[in-house]
Formats: sequence, structure tokens, C-alpha cells
Amino acid sequence: MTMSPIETRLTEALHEIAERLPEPTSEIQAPRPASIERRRRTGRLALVAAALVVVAGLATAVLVDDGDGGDRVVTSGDVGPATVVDPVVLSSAAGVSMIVNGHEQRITTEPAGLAFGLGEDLAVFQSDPDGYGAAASGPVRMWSAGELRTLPSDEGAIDVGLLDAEWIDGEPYALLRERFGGVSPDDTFEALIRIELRTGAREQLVRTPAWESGMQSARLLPDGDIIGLMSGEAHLFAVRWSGAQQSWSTEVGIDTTLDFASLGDVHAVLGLDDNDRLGLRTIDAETGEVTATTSLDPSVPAPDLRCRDWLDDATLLCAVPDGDPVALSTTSGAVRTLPSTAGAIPTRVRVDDATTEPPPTAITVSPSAPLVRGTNLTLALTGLDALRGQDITLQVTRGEPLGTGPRYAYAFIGDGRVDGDGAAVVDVSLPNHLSGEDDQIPLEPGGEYNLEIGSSTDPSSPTFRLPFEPDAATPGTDYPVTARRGSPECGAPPLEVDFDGSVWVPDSQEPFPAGTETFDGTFRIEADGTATFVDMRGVTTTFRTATGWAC
Amino acid sequence: MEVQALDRRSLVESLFREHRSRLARVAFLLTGSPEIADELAQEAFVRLWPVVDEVRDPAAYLTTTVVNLARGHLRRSAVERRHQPSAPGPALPPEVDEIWRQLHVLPERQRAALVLRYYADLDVAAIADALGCRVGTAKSLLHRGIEHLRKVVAP
Repeated sequence: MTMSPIETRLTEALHEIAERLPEPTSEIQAPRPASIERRRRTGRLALVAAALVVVAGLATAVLVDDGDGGDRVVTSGDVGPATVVDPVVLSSAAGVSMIVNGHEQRITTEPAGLAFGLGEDLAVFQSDPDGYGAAASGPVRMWSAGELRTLPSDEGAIDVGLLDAEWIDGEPYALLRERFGGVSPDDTFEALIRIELRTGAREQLVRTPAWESGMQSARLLPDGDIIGLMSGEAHLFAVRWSGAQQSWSTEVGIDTTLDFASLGDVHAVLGLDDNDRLGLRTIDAETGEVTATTSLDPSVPAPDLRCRDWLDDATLLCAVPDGDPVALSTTSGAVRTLPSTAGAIPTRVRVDDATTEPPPTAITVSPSAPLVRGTNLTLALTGLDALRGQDITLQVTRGEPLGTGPRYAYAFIGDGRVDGDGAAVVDVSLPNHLSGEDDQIPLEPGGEYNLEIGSSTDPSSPTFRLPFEPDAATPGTDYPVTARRGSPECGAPPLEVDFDGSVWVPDSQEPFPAGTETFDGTFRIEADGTATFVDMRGVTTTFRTATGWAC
Repeated sequence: MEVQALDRRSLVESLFREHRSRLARVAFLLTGSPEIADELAQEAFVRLWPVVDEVRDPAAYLTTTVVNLARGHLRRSAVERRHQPSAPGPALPPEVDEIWRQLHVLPERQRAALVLRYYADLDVAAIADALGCRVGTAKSLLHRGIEHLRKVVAP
């Protein structure tokens, strides 16, 4: 490999520094019980992390009394039902995209630091010439009717920042911070500017001194007021403005305050508490009083989370600087990943409540059991409003996520009908492999696949692709499966079970009378590597793995 | 059972002799603390001990464990993290010291990716395994880390 000069310097520096570490003299110690216990806990957390993929399940609430003034600590716990994270806007070094009902629309490939969607046809974002995302300093841009343009800023401003966007009385607005001066305390101030996006009309709402202080973040409320976080003289305040008038001001410092998020009646200051957990201080919007303090201890370390927005009143949307963004439940501590560019910043698509158009509904997929290959289970689907009354087919596919590109392998897993409420319950059977163009593509835990939901009634209806990841079978656990006869012309064994990535055949064909093609039952992998199949008659047969058959 | 325990011990001791020094140095580059590095390397072997028969690639397991332990340590010592680490022994040459300081300005995962690539000589797939991320994410971490150093380190 040819190294660049900086890579060569880094390699040499690392070796030089590492060589300074004295050669260790200690002897290895036998494992301590506490270490083994920690390892088990780590393994459990890893399992929780592995279950982050949307369809696989989420953690339920475990509330622990922190013993500190009634504070609440939320940690992640056992698995439960799942929900798709939608509708959101994602901004990153790769650009801006909007995901609504499982469809991803690329708005721009311009690197962007923060972006907001206002319905499905309008978005505003701050471009980021450095492509680093969080500290964007480029012009504020608007996307409307498929076209991009730059929002004008005051010529005297030395810095412009996009803070928020919101619908007010049926009109879309953006909230900007413009900074002026910078030479002395007397000439340095910040102005909060509200821009009506349809007309471009600017209105200065607030002007504040900004020498060694400033507006960290602010949210535009649907009534036109603003709640913002202001720093000054090493203190941090939440402030509400009604027009240019301050309604209240509350000091709100958490150890490391990160941001402020607002949705409806829920307003919260977010930061790291003194135990490196994510702290939420909920604020009464009328009085500014802190009404509740909650600490979240999710499976993603809190210092790695940058939460800026609510998806709903119990779900925060958070960027992870070096990973996929996540949705974080404030009631359970559960996290769900949003497959995207590393470091992407997620925000909720703002919906105009004044219009009669109903807000986009999130699609939820709740499996009745772990998604182990070869098992029979049901998927309960909701939010399929666009497919009401239609027959649907479900396939597992491999390809580009969320409908952004072609698929290159697939497997049918079940079909059903969507009812008038946009819900469906579909019996599915998960395969061991997907079918590729010329061969079989493995379907493996840890891989990235899609669950594709499409109409078999109306080809013009939309098709949805949601993230999907199979689970590995747990030895000693019973799973519902169907044993089937293979195809004789292919030279297949008389009876087989495709399970957990392998083909299994019975030690004896005797329990399976000729003339019956399928046998339902439960399948359990034993500790010795064999498996036990118990059919509906209660007959038990030992199975062993065999070579796969195909023709 | 006793024979198995003895075999396990000898296997772990063999791995200890082979990998101990490398792991401690990786931990040191990640944490900046010689003392913590020694503890983390020890802990990695303690965690390997009960599962050494089941682990397919003990060296990769140990590396991943050290990376995770270092990350946990840094999270717990956020205050310490704000201070620049110092290398043991005499002062570093200025050009090396600059790299060392900038390395510890980087986010933990970028730093870990750089250390695993340019010190431990792991390929991108192995780095992704160690960091528990996708190969594309590991590439991104390496790219961003190198780009940062390229921008801030004097030529």
C-alpha cells in the first residue's frame, strides 16, 4: 500500500510513542468472578445493540430511582415491538435527504450541517463547505419544488446559523441567527431572524448582546414565540421570547448542555449529566420552570449522542458522530438506527397542522417471534395507508436501502391483505437464502437486508423497503418450523428442514409417512449440535445438518 | 475437567506471551496512560480466559476487547480526557508530539481506527470488526481522521 506523507508520519509517530511504553512485567491473573459477570453484561448489551435494526425489536422500560431528588433513570431492557423512524430529514457530508413512508428523496448532494423539512415538498438547510456536518457555516439554502436557492442574509452579518423551521398559521418559516460586530462588547450582538419561506420576507424578532455569549440553539413555536438556549458569563439560560419581549428566563445548566428540543407541549434541555448519561430537563413553556429531570442510559453511549429534535413526544432524534443516527425512546431508553451516512443529523419533518392533509403515518412492523431463518411467524404491519384494501406481498431483498436503488437478491416470505385502517397481519416463513441472478445469496444475521412490501393488486401503488436483519437461533429454544419433502428430481433428501442457515435431515424417515408433503412442528438445536424436531403429533425425531440440495 | 482447565491456562498463557505487549501498546495509544494500558490489556486476557475454547480468532477478540475497554475508560474519565496525555520517557520530538496531541483531539472512534490501522496494521475489515461497525463506517473514520491530521499538522 502506498502511504501519503501524513500517513507515513502518523505510522512512524505511533510506533515511536508506543515503543516508549516499558515492557510489561506482570503475570496473567486468573479471571475474577466480577470480570466474568461484566463480560456477561457486555454480551447482553451487545445483544441489545444487535437488536437495534428496526424490525428486530426494541427495549422496554426499566425505570430506576436514582435516589437524587426524584430523578429518573431510564436504561434499556428486554425486547418488545418495533416502529419505523419516519418521517425525517437527514443531513450529512453526503447531502440532504427526506424519508417519508419509507421512501427516501434526495434533496441535494451539497454537504449540510442541519436541515428541516416542512411537509414533503419544502426543506431548508445550512450548507457545509467543509463537509463535516455539525459545525456548518455555509449559506442557508431552501429546497422548494425541486429547486434550490440561497436565503438572503444581512450583508453586515459575520456569521449566520440556521436554528429551526416551523409552520405558523399555515405558512412555513425558518429561524436564523445572525451575528454582528465581533470587535468589542459594544458592537457585538446577535439577531434572531424569522423568514417566511414562500415570500422571503425577513423579520427581526430578537436582538441580544453577544460578546462572549450567544444563542446556542432556539426553536420556533407554532404560535410564533421562540424558546432558546443562551449562554452568558459561564451560565446557560433557557429563554422564551414573545416577539421582542422576554417572557421568562431560567438557568438550566447540565454538566455539558448540548441542545434544546421542542415539540408540541414538550420542551427539554438536553445534555450530559455528571454520570455521563443523557440528561433531560423538561421545561414548562408557560413559566420556564423545570418540571422533570430524567437521565437516559441507552445502549449507545450518551457522550456519542447529539440529540436535536423530537420525532414524537417520547422519541428523540440523535446524530452519532461516527455512526448511523438513532431514534431514542425517552420512556424506555431503547434506540433504533436509521441507516444513513455516518454522522448524519436527523430531524423531524414538520407537518402543517392547519392543513387538512393528514400527517404521514409511520409504518410499524412487529414480529411475533425472533426473525430466525426457517421459522414460521407473523408480522403485524400498521401504517400502510397507501395500500389500504390491497393484497400485498412481502419479500426480503438485498440491495440499496429505503428504495434508493436496485435490489439484487430477493425471497418471497408471505402475502396478505391490508385492511381499511392500513394494517395487516401476514404469516411469513423466513428462508435460509435469497435468490440472486445466478446463485443463492446468503441471508445472515448481521447482514443488511430490506423487507419489501408491495401491492399485488395495483402495480402503480408504492412499494416500501424497510431495514431487515435476521436473528441467529438460540440453542435450546423451540422454534415453529415446517419440515418439507425435497424435490426428488433434484436428488434432494426425502425430508428436510431449512433452519438457521443450514439444511437439516432426520436420522430416520420412519416418523414421516409417505403421501404427506409437509410436517409442522417445533425445532430446537441441542448442545451437541444435533436438533430435535417435534411434530404436531408429538413425535420426536433427531435431525442433523446436511449438504444443501439444489438443481 | 482438570486437564481441560490446564489446557485452557496454557493456551491463554501462550496468547499472553504473544500478544500482551502489542495490546498494552494499543491501549496506551488509545488512552494515553501507561498504567491504564497495562490494566486494560490484563483485563482483556481475563475476559478471554473463560471463553478461549469458543473464540475463533483470539487475537481479534483481544484487540476488540481492548478497544472497547479503552472506550469505556475514556467515557468514565471525561474530566481526565480534557487534559492532553503525555508520553512516558523523555520529551517527544516536536513533530511526533504534534501528531500525539492531535491524535487525542480526535473523537475516540476516529483515534481508535487510526491506531488500529497505522500501529496495529489491521485491514479495514478487521478494524470494522474491532469497532463493531460496518466496513464503510471504518473507512469513513480513517478518512476523516487522516483528513483532520492533514489539515492541522504542519507539513
